[in-house]
Amino acid sequence: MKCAVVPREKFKSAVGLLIDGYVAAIPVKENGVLEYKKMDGKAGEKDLAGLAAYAVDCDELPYKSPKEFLFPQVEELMVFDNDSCTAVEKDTRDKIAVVGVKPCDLNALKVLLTVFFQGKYKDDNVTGRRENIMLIGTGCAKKKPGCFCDERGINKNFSSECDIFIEKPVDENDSFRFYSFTVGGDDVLDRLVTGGFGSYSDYEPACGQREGNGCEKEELVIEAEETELFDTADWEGISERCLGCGICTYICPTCHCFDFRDALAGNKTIRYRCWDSCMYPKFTLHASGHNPRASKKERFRQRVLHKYVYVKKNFGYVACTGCGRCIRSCPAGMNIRNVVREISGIRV
Amino acid sequence: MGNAYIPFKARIALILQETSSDVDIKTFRIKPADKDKRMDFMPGQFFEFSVPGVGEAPFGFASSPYEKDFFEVSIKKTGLVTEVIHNLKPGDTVWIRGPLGNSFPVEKMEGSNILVVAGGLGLAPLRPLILYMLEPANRSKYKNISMLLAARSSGDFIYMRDISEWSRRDDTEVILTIDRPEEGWKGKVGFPHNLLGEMQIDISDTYAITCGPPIMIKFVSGKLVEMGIPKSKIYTTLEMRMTCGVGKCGKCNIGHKYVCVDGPVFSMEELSGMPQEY
Ligand SMILES: Cc1cc2nc3c(=O)[nH]c(=O)nc-3n(C[C@H](O)[C@H](O)[C@H](O)COP(=O)(O)OP(=O)(O)OC[C@H]3O[C@@H](n4cnc5c(N)ncnc54)[C@H](O)[C@@H]3O)c2cc1C
Ligand code: SF4
Ligand code: SF4
Ligand code: FES
Repeated sequence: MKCAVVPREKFKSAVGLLIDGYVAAIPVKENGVLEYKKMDGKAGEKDLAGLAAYAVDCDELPYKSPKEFLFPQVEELMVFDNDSCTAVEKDTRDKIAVVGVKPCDLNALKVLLTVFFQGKYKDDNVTGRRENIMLIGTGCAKKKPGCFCDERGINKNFSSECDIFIEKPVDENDSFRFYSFTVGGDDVLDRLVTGGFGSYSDYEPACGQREGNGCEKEELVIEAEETELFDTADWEGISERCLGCGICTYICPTCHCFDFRDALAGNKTIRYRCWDSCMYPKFTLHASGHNPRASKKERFRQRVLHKYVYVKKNFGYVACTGCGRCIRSCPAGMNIRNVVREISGIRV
Repeated sequence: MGNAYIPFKARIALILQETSSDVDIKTFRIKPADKDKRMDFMPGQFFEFSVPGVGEAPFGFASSPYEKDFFEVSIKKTGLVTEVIHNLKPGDTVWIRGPLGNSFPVEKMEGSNILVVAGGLGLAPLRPLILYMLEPANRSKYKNISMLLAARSSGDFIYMRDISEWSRRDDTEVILTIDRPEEGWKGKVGFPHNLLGEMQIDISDTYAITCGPPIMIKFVSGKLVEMGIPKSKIYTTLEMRMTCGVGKCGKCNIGHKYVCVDGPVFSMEELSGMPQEY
């Protein structure tokens, strides 16, 4: 880890240098909704550095997480013609700088990347994209309605799950601090310091040093064995209001299930990969007609236990960051935080 | 290692109609188009079979792992992909990727008696195991090999040509059973779990491997446990709906285990520590 101190007046140009040479993905507000937009227009036409600097400073969580930059909702995976089948690597070599990613979403990307990087097989498309993406993180000043990152042990002020993390000044005499955590991050910091935008410092991240600065205790957890709550919790009652629309899974920054679909294009066939959802009955329907998750009771249980128990058992961490998106988006008012509290006996 | 989702080209060399009844099963012999691309699989593993424009589906290998020029797969017509596969002709191009998943613990099973209990198409994923153990280089590694093979009716047995050969051998015991009596039938009648008691099984030294419809697996394994075979020595192979086959798409999990990479072969001991969701 390196840390460069960047004075306020140089902040905008320093951010401009970070995104130089990349297509910048920056949260911008349109019709009242904050969403990541890829700024691939001609540089100079828009004040990209200004937009990026504003995004770093902005204390709002984008409506959707940035997972699409690594794992698009729909992508071409391969093309068949009569004689060959070729992998499609479209978009996987684009250099994208994702700006202003909050700690919850940085932690979510860690989960997503673990699934696609680890195990016996690697996913070439997702891993290829990660190599070409620069993640620029930033903290949250306050929790948003529905957020429970603190209960999930995520420090809203700081995260090292990125290439560069920008810490904002605490008062008007303070400066910005840019931390790097990867080789790619180190390189841009070097350029930044050599370019005169900041100077190296041995400043430690503020986590745990200043009052109210997070380093929260991970208290929203499920300790029980997977077979235990699977049978004992009242999943029928818990899932009663769920409509099975699947929005919670599409909006979730850690959900990563997918399906393949073939489409004919002239004399070729394109095999697409598209997001899928465990909230749909056909997700697990066998060809015989048998369905291990035939009702919403089983499907809702899968969503909760997968995030809180199964992923933890496989990779060591829970796949829910407490971003609150599923709670804010659910048309039926389902609340995963309350469900976990209820079934694990934590007082609501 | 190449991209885990990209299949390679192969050709259909031979097609055999296995059953004449309403369960429509065909066996396909498949040869990779490129000699360097072989399926070096172990008994129990599976592969993904693609028909471009229609889709991809997982199937267990059904031939001896010692066949190096080709492999076989037995496929029941049930839906989109399997319907199109059933209409293929010898010489047609197909796309395959694998081998995927784990395999039966053939080394751990060495030195013990082996009991195979199969129902219907459940014999298909066990055929590579049987042929592996009967391979001259391996036969002496296993003690008695007994098979209890079940089908709905006499016309529903797959691999009749193998079954008659296995029955003729004096180093195997083969018992056939059908659900209801039929005129001229010389085998047994009844569900396999009800016949296990009649077999000579050395419970202290036997590995049991079973595959068939979920309900049969349940009854047979239950009976074997009741008879005293340890759960750690009873194996089965599971089916789940799958897309990727490589542990990424999230379709096939039972609790924290993924059938495509942690399975499809599981011992009853492993299964009893997993949620009952399959
Ligand atoms: C490890 C493993 C080994 C296997 N081995 C064998 C084997 O050796 N032999 C064998 O015959 N089978 C085997 N199977 C089962 C085989 O994979 C299925 O029979 C096969 O996937 C069926 O494919 P299909 O396209 O014909 O059926 P599908 O068309 O997929 O039909 C299945 C059902 O899913 C639904 N469905 C499917 N696609 C869609 C869609 N796009 N939209 C809406 N609904 C849809 C339909 O309701 C349909 O009834 C194995 C499975 C596994 C997991
Ligand atoms: S968003 Fe709400 S209603 Fe829709 S599937 Fe999720 S929990 Fe159910
Ligand atoms: S489950 Fe809900 S709160 Fe948890 S990470 Fe997913 S969207 Fe956010
Ligand atoms: S089939 Fe995709 S995870 Fe198992």
